[in-house]
Amino acid sequence: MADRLSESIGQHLVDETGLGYQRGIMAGFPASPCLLRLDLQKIMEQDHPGRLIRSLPVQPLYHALRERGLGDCVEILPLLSQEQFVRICDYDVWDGERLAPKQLLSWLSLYRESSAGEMFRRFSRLDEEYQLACLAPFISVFTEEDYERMTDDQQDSLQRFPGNALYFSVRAEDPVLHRQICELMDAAMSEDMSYAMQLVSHAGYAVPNEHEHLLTQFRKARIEEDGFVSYEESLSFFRPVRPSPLISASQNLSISGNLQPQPAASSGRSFLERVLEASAAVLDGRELTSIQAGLLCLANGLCSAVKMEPGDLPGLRDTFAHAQALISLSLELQSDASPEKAVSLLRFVHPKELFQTGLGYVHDLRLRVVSALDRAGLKEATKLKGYAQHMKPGLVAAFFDHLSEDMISLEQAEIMKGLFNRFPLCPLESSSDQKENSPARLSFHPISSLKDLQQLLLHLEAFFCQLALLRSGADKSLWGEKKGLSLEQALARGLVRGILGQRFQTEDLNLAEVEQFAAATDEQLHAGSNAFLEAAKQMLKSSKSLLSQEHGEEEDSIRNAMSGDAYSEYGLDQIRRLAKRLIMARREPSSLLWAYASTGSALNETSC
Amino acid sequence: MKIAGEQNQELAQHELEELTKIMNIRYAPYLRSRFFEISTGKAPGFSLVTMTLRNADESFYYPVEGRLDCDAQDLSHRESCLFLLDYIELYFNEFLKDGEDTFIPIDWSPFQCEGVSFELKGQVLNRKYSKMADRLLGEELTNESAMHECRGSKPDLITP
Repeated sequence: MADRLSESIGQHLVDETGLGYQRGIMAGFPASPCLLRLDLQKIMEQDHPGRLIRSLPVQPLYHALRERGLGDCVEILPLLSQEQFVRICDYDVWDGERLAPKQLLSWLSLYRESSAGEMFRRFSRLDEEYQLACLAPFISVFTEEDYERMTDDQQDSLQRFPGNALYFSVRAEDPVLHRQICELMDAAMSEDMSYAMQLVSHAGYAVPNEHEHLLTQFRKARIEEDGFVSYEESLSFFRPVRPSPLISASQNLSISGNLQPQPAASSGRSFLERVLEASAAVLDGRELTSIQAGLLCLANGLCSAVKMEPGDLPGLRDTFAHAQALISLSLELQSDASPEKAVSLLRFVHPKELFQTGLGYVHDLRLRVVSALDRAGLKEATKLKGYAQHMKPGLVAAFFDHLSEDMISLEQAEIMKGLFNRFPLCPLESSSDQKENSPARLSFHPISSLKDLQQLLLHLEAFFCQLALLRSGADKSLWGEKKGLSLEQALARGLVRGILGQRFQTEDLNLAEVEQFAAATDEQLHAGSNAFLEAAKQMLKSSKSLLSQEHGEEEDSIRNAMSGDAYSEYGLDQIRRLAKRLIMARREPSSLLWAYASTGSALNETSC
Repeated sequence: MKIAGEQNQELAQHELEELTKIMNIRYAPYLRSRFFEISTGKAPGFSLVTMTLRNADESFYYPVEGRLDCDAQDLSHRESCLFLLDYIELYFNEFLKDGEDTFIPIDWSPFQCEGVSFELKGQVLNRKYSKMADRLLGEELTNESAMHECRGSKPDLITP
């Protein structure tokens, strides 16, 4: 992605790998179990808080400090070990591949609130490269001879070391940065004059960027230990592992009875959180630490894949939530939703593999969707199949992003984009209150459970059910042949004919049909609608869903879920609602739906 | 800004839409239920750009406006708009990533970047409440006017 906004014009929003947008689009998430939560207040109330703090893992400690607010951590910071401080610097004082000296000096300024000596000690114990990379761009050194050649004003602007043999100036334009460097130098000169002189000499004559370059390599090696692997390596995380048929999926994935989407799991605790809670009672401390470290390592690896900085806390939290979601899905499906089995899985299978398996379930669904689109006659489906098979879902998402609303409704396009997002998302079913307040709003959240998968399947199946119905009533291919006719428009026309007892056809309505529909009573139309839907049900039953046709011989979980009638009933339910809206809309000639149905020759005739 | 052969053109609507989309994707993790809107305009000698971060009901409405004297800075209208958009994007980057406590002055204030001088202003508004207040005050005034009309006297709109 281009750095400057203006350079982004005309560029595709997918990266070169085709994996998709670098970040998922979603609302905020609760704290992730991938990251240990630390209560610094409680820790500080212990007898020996210093010992406890120095024993803590660095990344959770860093997050806890940032969450508490660095200004409120002045009494905690001196308790950190130097190793912890260096790691925190690795996370926080970098902007991409470049050191951010101001940020480093801000941390040191916090130590200055304890004492200037503490500030100097922390700085002087940092790697030599850290010290020089931080100061070199801002320090100019002058000898006595240089000093003599200067004007009075220039001489007054310099700082001098005792003996008047060495002078230096701070040339930071930013006044805050200038003050921070001056404070640091004052602290250095008051604590250790000879160290300060050496520091200034080295910084003043340092080769530009040399120390920073070296430091980048050291830092990279250190943060790789935490899982922030190289971008290329991190891409392997997105290779889906094909899920093995471990479970009797038909029991789990089919929907019986209640056809309404189940409440999303995100409102409560995720399956992974429940499993981690259960594991606390079964596993010993070392195993728990190992699991926690594995989860954190995976989450950090994913951050590398989305090119997220370790210091980008809101971004990290979202990425952690995505990691948690797919692990949760994978555990739930593989363990038959049994926390005990899931604990064993978590104990023996690396979180990365669990993540890839979770992705595998979604990948399987993605393949089915593009195949179904192919069967429905979408011209570009072959290309999309290639993208999906080569694990470039981002290109499929980009395709739907650019697809005209004439071909697919905005809501359907967004659902598709969610499915093909790098971190797959599914629509969050809003409550009836929310629907009334903002009926057009569609919220997404990561696919983290069986219920989420069912929710997504319901939406997809409703879409493909409509396509199947339309295909039965269209003389030509649904897409491509007749530009400007949206699926909803075609469906509305077919429904008008169907309700009037005619053959379901998507051709333009004629004036007589429009008038007949407008003049009929509600009772007549509702009776016609019921009869049509009954016939449609029989027709859809006799032909399999578009989604479940291709993988006829495969026995895996997703296919079993598709084969039930429940999904087509949900699709019919959506059509029933549309018919109801259409009957209501005929009394309001300005309504969009009625305009959809009657646009074409009939409307033209009426206008004339 | 570096689009060859397009320096003298104005920013097309589709380009603005594209930039808006990029902003909404780039800062998606920070937006919660908010979104960006971008508009550009032209006043005599000036290029105007407004990038607004807002939510649907406008209870959070943060327009950041920038203006640049194209002639004085020897920039085309398009270049000026893109320059301002780049700078405002940088500002929003800092605003969103630093806990949303970095603000710019509420009235036009001079800024300088890469040798170009321009002015910015921005203020977080709650337009939902403002509208509600306007409506309430309007109703109040209307009722008061009606009462005074019934009594045959004019309302005192300004009370001491």
